Amino acid sequence: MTIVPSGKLEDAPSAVPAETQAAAAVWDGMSVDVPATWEPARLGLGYILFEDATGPRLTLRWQSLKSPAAPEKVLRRLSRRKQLMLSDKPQGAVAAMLSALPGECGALPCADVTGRGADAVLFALQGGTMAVLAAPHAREGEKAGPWAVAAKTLSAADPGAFSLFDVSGVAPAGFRLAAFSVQLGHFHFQFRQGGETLDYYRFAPAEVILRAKSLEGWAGEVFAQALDKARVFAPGYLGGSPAASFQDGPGASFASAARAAASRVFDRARFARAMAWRPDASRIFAAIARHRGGLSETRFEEVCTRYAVRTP
Amino acid sequence: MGRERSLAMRPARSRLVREEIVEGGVVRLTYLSAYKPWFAGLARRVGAWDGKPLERKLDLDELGAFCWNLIDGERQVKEMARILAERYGLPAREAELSVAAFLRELGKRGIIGVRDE
Repeated sequence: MTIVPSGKLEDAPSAVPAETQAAAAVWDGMSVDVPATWEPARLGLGYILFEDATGPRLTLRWQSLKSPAAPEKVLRRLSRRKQLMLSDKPQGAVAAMLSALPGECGALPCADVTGRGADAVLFALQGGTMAVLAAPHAREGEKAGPWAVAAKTLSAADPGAFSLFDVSGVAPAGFRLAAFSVQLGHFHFQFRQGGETLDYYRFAPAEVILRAKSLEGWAGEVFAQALDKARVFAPGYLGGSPAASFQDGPGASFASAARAAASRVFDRARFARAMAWRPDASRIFAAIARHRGGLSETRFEEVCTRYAVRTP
Repeated sequence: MGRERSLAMRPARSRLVREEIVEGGVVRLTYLSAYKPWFAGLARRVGAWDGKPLERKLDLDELGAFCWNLIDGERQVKEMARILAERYGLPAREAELSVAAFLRELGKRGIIGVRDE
């Protein structure tokens, strides 16, 4: 902010170009700040590859460990398996990441034993209970700033949280990412806790999908398989956005109580709550919860409200 | 081919493709195709094919028709993606991938060609 002679405050031009401003990406228990131009190109459980218009930029792999382990032990194990080895001359982005990581992470520079893969940094988070392998894909002469920022901001995140592409959400405590599918126009993330599941969906462009169809009619057709048969969705609103919802118990009857008990053994006996809504003109969001009777309508609406359009 | 280079390509329609609007406002493309050489020889020998090019039809959905109308031989793929993203509120990368997938399908059928910048 600079004060100009007239006494008005004006914003100084931003010193950071838009394409290098960092945005937090959260996926499967990991959070990292990367430039807005880096987008997830490949995803897996404990894996994400960021790329931009020029190609791959950063690969991250991480794994929870049953008992805390120092990175040296992890590296020794990987060396025995002839997968990674200690690198003695870290340079460029690898060196920048090593410098940016706090000392307690025990960061080690590694190299692929075949000599073909990118050099990487192996370190531990969360008191040694999460091992992380970060491989920057930097070209010669490139400034290492973005990778240093990524290293500095890498941290363990809520396993139920996700924030990437144009969506972000937080599943209730105890839920973990179990499955996902990212296709053109259609995202699906499933979180699981024991026998209960919470599925998040995103469809776009809404204008084309809902051409000559109501939201409730479309939802009834599209989620027929997820809800075991075609269901009738009721129109309504979610926080001011047009929505359609469906719920299947539980009630206060004996039959409902029996079903809740049966759902502990049989997945098909689980209750279902589903909601589809339009957070804006171009997207349709949906959430489907399969539960054993403990998820109230109010709680489910809270869960849906925490699923929102991500603005980097 | 790198992503930047493929986004800089300029797709152009084949002159042999016929376009018509059919019932429901659907855009229908009619293009010429041929059997694969090994099958063509067999088909001719048994008299199942007279050797003339086959006419095939492809109906485009709303997004496909929108992208088709953007193909003019001059517009780059990245510009098509930008226009698609703007029109339908899609994230930029998703629009790029949608356009790329669509052009790949058209290219496989010989409906379009692409030229380098």
